Amino acid sequence: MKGTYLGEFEELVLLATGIMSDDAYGVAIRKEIETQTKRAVNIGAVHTALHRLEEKGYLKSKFGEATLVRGGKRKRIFALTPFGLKALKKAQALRSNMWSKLILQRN
Amino acid sequence: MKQQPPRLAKSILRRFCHVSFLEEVEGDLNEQFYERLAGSGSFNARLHYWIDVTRAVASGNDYGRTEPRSRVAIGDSMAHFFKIFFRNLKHNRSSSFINIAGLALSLMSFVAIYLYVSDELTFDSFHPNADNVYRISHSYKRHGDGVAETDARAGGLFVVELKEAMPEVEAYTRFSRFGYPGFVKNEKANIMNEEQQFFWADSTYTDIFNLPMISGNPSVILRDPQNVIISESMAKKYFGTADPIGQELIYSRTGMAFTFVVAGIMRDYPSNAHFHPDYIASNVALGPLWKRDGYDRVNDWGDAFTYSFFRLINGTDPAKAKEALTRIFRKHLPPERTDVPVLTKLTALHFTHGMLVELELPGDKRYAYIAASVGVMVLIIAAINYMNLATARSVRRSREVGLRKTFGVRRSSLIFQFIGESVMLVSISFVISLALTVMLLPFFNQLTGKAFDIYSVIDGNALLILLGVVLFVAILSGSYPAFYLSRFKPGDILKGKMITGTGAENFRKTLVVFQFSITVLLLISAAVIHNQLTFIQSGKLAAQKEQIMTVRLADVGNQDQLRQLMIQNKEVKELSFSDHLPRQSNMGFITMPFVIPSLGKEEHMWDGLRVDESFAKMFNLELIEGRNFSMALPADTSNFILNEAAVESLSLTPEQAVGLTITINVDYWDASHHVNGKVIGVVKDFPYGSVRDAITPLVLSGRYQHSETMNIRLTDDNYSEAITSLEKSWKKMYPSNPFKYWFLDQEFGRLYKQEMQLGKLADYFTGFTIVIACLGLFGLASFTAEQKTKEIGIRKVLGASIGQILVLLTNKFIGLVLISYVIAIPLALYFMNSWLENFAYKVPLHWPAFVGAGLLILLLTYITVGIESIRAAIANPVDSIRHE
Repeated sequence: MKGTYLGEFEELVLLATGIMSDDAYGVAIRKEIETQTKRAVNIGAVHTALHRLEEKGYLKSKFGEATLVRGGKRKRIFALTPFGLKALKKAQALRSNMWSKLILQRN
Repeated sequence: MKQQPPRLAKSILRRFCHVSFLEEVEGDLNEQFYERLAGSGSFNARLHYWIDVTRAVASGNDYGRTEPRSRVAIGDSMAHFFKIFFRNLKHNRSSSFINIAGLALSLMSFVAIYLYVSDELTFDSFHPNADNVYRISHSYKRHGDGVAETDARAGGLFVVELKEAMPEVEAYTRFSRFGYPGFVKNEKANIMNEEQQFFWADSTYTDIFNLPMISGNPSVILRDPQNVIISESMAKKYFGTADPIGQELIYSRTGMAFTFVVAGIMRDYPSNAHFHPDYIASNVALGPLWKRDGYDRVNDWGDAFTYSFFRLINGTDPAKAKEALTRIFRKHLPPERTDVPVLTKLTALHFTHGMLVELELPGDKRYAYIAASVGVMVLIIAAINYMNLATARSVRRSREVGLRKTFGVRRSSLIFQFIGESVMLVSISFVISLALTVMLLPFFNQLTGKAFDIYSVIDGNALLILLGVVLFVAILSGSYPAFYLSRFKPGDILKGKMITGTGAENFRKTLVVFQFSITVLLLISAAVIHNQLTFIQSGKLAAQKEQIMTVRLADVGNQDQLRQLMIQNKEVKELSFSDHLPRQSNMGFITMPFVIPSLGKEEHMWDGLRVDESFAKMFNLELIEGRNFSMALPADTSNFILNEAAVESLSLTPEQAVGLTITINVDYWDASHHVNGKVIGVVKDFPYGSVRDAITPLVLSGRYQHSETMNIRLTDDNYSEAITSLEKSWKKMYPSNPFKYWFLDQEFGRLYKQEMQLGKLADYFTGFTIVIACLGLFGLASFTAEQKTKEIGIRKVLGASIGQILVLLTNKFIGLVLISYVIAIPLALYFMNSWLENFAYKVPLHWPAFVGAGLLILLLTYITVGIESIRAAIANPVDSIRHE
C-alpha cells in the first residue's frame, strides 16, 4: 500500500521536482507549488513529502552547493527516478481512464 | 548581514532534528528566513522560522534516511575475526597457554564435579514416576529403655491393605534382602561365592521399579518361585560367556539350600540407585525358609521383614496416605505397640539418615553441595585468570582498538570481537577438557565409586548444561575486557597516551585477592580433612589394622578345632574370634538387653561383642580393672567385661563394677533363655564402630563359640602366600564353604567411604585450584616484569642489586596473597568447624594446618612470581634501556 499509493500533495511535489529538473531543493519546490496552485505551502510539509518519496524510491537526492544565504549549509537537490516517473504516469493514466468513463456516461 | 535567525530556535533545531536531514533543513530555513526578512519584515520572518523549526522537529524525526549499508560481507568479517584471533593466540604464546591450560583444567574439574553432583542429586530417578513413589518404614520405642528408633522396613501386610483402602494408590511392591549374606553356587562349574545382594520380591516389582532386562519378562518370571533373575555381572561371574538362561544356581545359607533356574538377565543398576540387586527371586520362594510353624514373615503385621513401596496417583498428598497407614497400624497392631509409619519419598532415600537396616549407606547432601561450590569456584578462578590477563595486555590491544575505531569500527563490533575471542578460547579449552575428562574417567570412577562412561558426558542433557556453562564462562570472562578495551578513545591511544587506568589495576588486584582467598580456603580445608582422616585411622583399634585379616565363620561351635587347624600355619602370628567389626547399626540391630539384678530390673540396651581371650591382646585393649578372659577357665565363656562407658552409665567406679552379676537373654527368639555371668574386668573405651558416633556402652562376652568372624594377624606382608595356605587349612575343615576373607582396614574404610572420597577429591581439586591460580599469577607477574623492563634497566644502571629488584617485583603480589590469607582464615575456621561437627571424635583445629597452608601459598607465590622476575632482574640493562 505504502509503496504504490501516491497522495495528492505527494503527486504535486513529485511533479514540481520533475519540472524543476536540476535545481529542485526544498525552498524552490515549495515556491513552484505555491505559484502553480496559488495556495500557501509549509516548508515542513514539503520536507516530509520529499523524504517519504525518497524512501519510496520515486526520488533520489544529492547535495548541491552551499550559499551564504543558506548560512553555509548545502542544498539537497532532488531528482525524479524512472520509478517515480512511472508512478506519475500511472496516476495520470488512472485519471484519464476514469475521465473517459465520465464523458461516456454524460453522452 | 545584520539579522540572524533566532539563535534559540536554531539550537533547538540542531539538537532535535534528525542528523541526516539537519543540513538541508537548516539551509532551507535559513534561505526562507532571509527571503521573509526582505519581504515582510523581521517579526514575520522570526515567527515563521520558529513555526518551521517546530514542524521540522515534530515531524522530521519520523523518517531516518537509511545509513549506507556495510559493504563488508559477513563471511569476510568472520574470516578477519578468526585471522586476528589466531594471530593474537600465536603472538602471546605464554598468556594463550595460561588461559587455555587454566580453562581446560577448570572445565575438566567442573565436568567431573558436575557428573558427581548430578549423580548424587538424581538418586533413584531412573525408576518410572519416581517422584510419586514412597517407602513405608516404621518408628517405635525400643524395648527396654524406650529410645525411639526407625526401622527402614515395615510389616508386609500394611501396604497391601493401604492399596485396598486408598484408591489413589496406583501400585505397590515389596522385597526383602533376607539372608544377608548368603552363598550362591554354580554346581556344574564349581563356582561358589558369598553374595550380599540377593533380593526376594513380589511379582509386582516392575510396577514400581525400573528393571532393564537383557532377556526375559520380569513380571512373568517372578510369578514362578523356581526362577531367579540375575544381573549381567553375575552372569559373567558364574557362567562366563555361556548362556545362563535355563541354568541352575544354588542359593544356600545356614544349612538350607534352594535350587533356582536362571530365567532372566537384567542390566546392573546405575550408581545412583539406593539399592543394587544382583539376584531377584520371588518372595514366595522364601516360604520353605520361613513358613516353619505356619509362620509367614512376608505377609505379617508385626514382623517388619520387607521393604514396602507404593506409588500414588500424581498430585495426591502423601499426608493422606500417612493418615490411612496410621489407621491401619492401629487396627492391626496390639495396643501396647505404639509404632508409627514413616513415609520416605523414593527420590529422597539416598539422603535419608538415621534409619536402621538400610540397604546401603546413605549419602550426605552437604558433600554434594560442597563439591558443587568447589566446581563453581574453580571455574571462577579460571575466568578471573582470563580477565586479568586480557586487561593486563590491554596496552598492546589498545593500539589495535584505536586503529579500528579510527577506521570507523563501531563499539558494538569491538565488544563482539572481544567476547567472540573469549568464546573461542573457552570453546577450545572445553574440547580439551572433554578429552581429558574422558581419559581420566576410570580414575575418577575409582575415586568416587561411581560408574561414569563417555555417554554420561555426552548424553544430551549433560552436554547441553555444560555448553550453557561454557557460554556463561566465556561471556563472563570476555565481558570485562570487552567493555574495558572498547571504551578507549582512539585519539588518546594513537597520540601515544599511556593507558594505565588505576581502575583496571585495582580491579585486577581485587580479583587476585578473591582467587587466592578461595585457594587458601581450599588448602586449609584439605589439610584439616586430612588431619581428621589420619585421626580416624590412627584410632586405637585401628593400630596395625592393615595386617589383620578377617574370615567369616561358617558355623557355630567348632571354634577351638578351627583354631588348632589355623595356628599350625606359620603365617599366623595371632588369632582371635570376635563378632564382626566394626559394629554398624545401619546393618541391623546390635544392641541387646542386659539386666543387672543387684541394681534393679531395668534393662540396659547395650552393644554386645562376643570375643575370646586373645581379642584384648590383638587389639591392644587396656584393662583398667579386673582381668581378661581366660581359656583355662570354662566359666569365663559366660562372664563379661564392660567398657568404661558402660560403667559410667551405671554411675559406678570400675572397682565397684567388677564382680557384678549380669543377666542376658542370649536367644532373640526365646525369651526364657537367660544366662547369668559375672563382670570380671573393665576395659578402656576403644572405637569399635564409626567415629562419627560417640562410644556407647559395650559388653564383651566370653561366648566366643558364637562369634561371627575370625581375626588373623599375619606375620609378614606376603599376603598371597599366607592366604593360599590358610585356605588349604580351611578346606580341610569346611570343604564346601568358601574361604571368605577381607582386611580390617578396608572394612573400617568403608565406614568412612564418603570422608575418604571427600579427602581425595579435596586433594585433587585443591591441587587444580593452586595450579590454575598460580598460572594466573605467573601471567600477571610476567606482564609486570615486561612493563617495568626499562625501569629495571635504569635501576640497575644506578646500582640496584638483583635482590632489590626481586623485592620490587614480588612485593605487590606477596601483599595481595597475604590479604587473601587473612580473608580466608575466618572462612576456613567456620566451614571446618561445622564439618567436624559430624564426628563425635574429632581433631582440634590445629594451627599447623593454617600456618602450613599460609607458608605453602607464600612459597608458591614466590616461586611463581620469582621465575619471571629473576629473568627480568638479571637481564642486561643495556638491552632493556636501548630497547627503543
